Amino acid sequence: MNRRTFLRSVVFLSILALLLTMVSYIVRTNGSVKNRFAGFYAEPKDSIQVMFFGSSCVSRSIAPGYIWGEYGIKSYALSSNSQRTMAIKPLIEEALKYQSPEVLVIDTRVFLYDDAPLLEDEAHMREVTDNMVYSVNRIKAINRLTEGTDIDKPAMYMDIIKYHSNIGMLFEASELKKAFYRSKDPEKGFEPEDDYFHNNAYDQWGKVNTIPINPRQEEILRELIAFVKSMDIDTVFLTSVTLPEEEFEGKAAYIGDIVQKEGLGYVNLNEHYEEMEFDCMTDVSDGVHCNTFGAYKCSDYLTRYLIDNYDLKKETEDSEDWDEAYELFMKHMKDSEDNLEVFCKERDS
Amino acid sequence: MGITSLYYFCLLAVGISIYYIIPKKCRWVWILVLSVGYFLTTGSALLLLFPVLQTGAAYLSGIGMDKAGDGEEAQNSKKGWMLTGVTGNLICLVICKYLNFGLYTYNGFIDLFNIDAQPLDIIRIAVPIGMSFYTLSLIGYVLDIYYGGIEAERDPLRLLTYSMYFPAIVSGPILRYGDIGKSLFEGHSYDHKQITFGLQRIFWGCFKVLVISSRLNGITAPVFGNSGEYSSLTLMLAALAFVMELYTNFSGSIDIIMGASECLGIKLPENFNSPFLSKSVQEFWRRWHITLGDWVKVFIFYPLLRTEYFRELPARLKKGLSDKLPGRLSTGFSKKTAKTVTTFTAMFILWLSVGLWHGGSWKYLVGSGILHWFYILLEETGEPLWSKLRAPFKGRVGAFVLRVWQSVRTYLLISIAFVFFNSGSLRAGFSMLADMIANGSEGMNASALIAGKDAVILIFSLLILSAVDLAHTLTDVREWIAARPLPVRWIIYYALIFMVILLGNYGPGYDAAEFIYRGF
Amino acid sequence: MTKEELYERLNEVFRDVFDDEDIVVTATTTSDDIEDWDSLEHINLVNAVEKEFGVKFTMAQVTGMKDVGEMVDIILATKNQ
Repeated sequence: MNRRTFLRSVVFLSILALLLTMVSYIVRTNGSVKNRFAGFYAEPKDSIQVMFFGSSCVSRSIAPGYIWGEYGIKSYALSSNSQRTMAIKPLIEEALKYQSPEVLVIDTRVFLYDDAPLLEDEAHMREVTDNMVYSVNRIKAINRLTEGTDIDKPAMYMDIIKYHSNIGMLFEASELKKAFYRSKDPEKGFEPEDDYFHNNAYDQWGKVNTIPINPRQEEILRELIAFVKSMDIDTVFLTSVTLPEEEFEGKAAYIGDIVQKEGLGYVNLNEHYEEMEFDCMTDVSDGVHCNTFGAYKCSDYLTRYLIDNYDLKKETEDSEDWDEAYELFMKHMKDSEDNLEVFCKERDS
Repeated sequence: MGITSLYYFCLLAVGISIYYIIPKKCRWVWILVLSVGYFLTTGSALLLLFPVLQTGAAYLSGIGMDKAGDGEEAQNSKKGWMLTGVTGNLICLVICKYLNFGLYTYNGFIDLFNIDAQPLDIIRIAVPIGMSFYTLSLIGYVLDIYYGGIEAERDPLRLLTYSMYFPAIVSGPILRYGDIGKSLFEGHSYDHKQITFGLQRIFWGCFKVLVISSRLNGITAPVFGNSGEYSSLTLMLAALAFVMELYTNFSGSIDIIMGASECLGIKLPENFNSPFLSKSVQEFWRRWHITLGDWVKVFIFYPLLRTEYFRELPARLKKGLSDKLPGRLSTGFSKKTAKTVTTFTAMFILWLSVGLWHGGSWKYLVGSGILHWFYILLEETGEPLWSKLRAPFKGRVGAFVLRVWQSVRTYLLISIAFVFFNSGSLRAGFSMLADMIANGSEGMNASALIAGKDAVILIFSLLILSAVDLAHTLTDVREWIAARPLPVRWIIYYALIFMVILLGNYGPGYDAAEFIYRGF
Repeated sequence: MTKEELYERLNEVFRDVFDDEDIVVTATTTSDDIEDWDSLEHINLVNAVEKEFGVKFTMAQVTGMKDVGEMVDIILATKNQ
């Protein structure tokens, strides 16, 4: 093979690899998680001050648009549904490749459960790995998440094997924009919940005896703590608004103990309903997730906590899309208020 | 390891790369290694005994014949060795594939006539991959030596490379040692054009199998199991679709095989040549599964017609066979008829063999055998009538219309035969054909079988397939593309690759693309 | 036997086998040139040629011969032994 054919082959294969990457990104199943992650990669380098990690509770209760509009702080969540605790470390590593946040906030909800039932849950694992850009870190994340499972690895590495039949995406403008997996999310990752009545109001959590969490989860927690300490970034562990079922109060306290002993921050929102003026009847959508009102209250409380305890400064640059996110959030609030009125009238009649 | 799986492509990538790195003298040994390795991924290691023993039998037979020398006496010895080689191989084939034939027949018999007897259990035997193919390649090797066409191979490992050659072992083509022997053992130099052409052919094969064949399977599979539930029109559609499914599946596999072999610099004999352009069933079998047709012609049909019995049969038929038989069989046929009867008697045995080769069950015997004999018989003997019917179609338009009709008619006749091929049994086949007439508009129809999006993709792909197959009759398509300017041909290559990736049925959620001919 | 004589007798055989009095074969005649000369008729032809000239072709020769010229060469070679 002479030099010319060799070079031509290299160029051919390179273009093929590029096209394959772009097509893979485009045909990945669309949805809020894809928008969130693709939005994250589109944010300018080193512009995010607070990074959130965790499961669906995070995306429902943290509104970056509000946090920006009210406090001038830029934040972003790399959360996905039923996100396994094993996924948090690789996601932090991923975030740190593109951003230099001042604070990490890690939601501990999934630590309250056992990891084992989620082991064969390929769909939710893919929500993490199939929303990361192709990189060594992604391969490591896949290896880490599929350890101890029977999941077929090649189909995880090359996600196009799973999604190739989504050819409809190739005709959607919103998905075509994600050809390089960088496409700003107007909501900045926030997922507003419309539904907002839960029938059982629940009380603020009190002080209880600690109950140990699942040993495997504790292992993962300690690994995570050691990791963030080695990165020397301020970290807060968060217990988001949760129904107090299944010994959660005791387990949350257990986590809080471990975290605080290691010198890291811990906030359990369930201990501050009064301060937050949080009302489970109007601020929770389905007993598990906050709605827009809840998001407003949680975001507000949390941001003040972070400003008070960590030296966060107001940002002023690149604010146009952030201003839009704030406006979008305020619109969600207005819609929710209108719907609340309607619902109360129906309920009382 | 299925040949459209990722693992197979990795095997090819690694195997082909190493082939061109190691010294030329060792390259054929590497092919043997790859072939044995591939074989081991397809089943139990014990099955390796079959190709090894069969090749051993063929090898000894060949050496024996060579050593026997020439002359009258040597002839008997040669015959003995030949029979050893052939029977040795046939016995293995019978053990693996035909033990159940008698059982099926018995069970079918008691079922058909409602006899109160216990059906016998079918014997389950694991079959080594490609047995029906490599056995014929080996028997052909023995007979080619016996008939004086080639000399025996001295190196048993080389013969093993021939019989186990990993691209061809999957589903053919059936090889002739004289044609491929040299090419197999020459260490080929790297030829960029050959490799790229080979890769293009592999992708084209994947396109046929993954995009077209698997989609058509969505239509045929539910219907063939369940013909009572579907309307006549749907049943007919499924039968027509199956022919195309089998074509794309089989010829697509062959394309992958040929492409892989081409990447190694080894050209295998073609197995398909635009079969749907055939004007008659006879022509069809010269364009479909060509190597099988050639094999049975050279090793069954011709030798049969050269035996004493068949040489003398025309003369005997002219005189009349025996007074005790009715009609012409006692008074004698005309010369032409005598020749035809002789030929078709031999041909009956030929088609019986073809049917049997496809499988040891009656549906294959009929659907891939005797029915085709019957079609050809009608074609030949009815020629005076057919000529009269063709007469009005004159001029360019007339000739064109006739041409189209002949292709359509051939396709229809083949569809009927393949109904048996794809049904669970001979009876199920008859059942389906009866339902085609009887069901009318009762029952589910085609819209239940295929989603709109898939139907569009199917039609689009079939159009591309037709265009390319037609283009192939005029020119070498790969050469034509290669002659276009660089941006144009790269766009075509990328289009092919992405059509396979995006439109192919593979991955989780799909059944592994089944190779209909893989179990052969 | 000269080549001319051979071709004369061969013509007779061809005309008989294919039932066509107009056939004239040359060294370059192949199965493409005679309409009925297909694989079915090939053996009949070979058998008839063998009978006429008292020769025996091997199977390899039967399947291998590309045109009438090759057939003639084999006949001559066998007859001259």
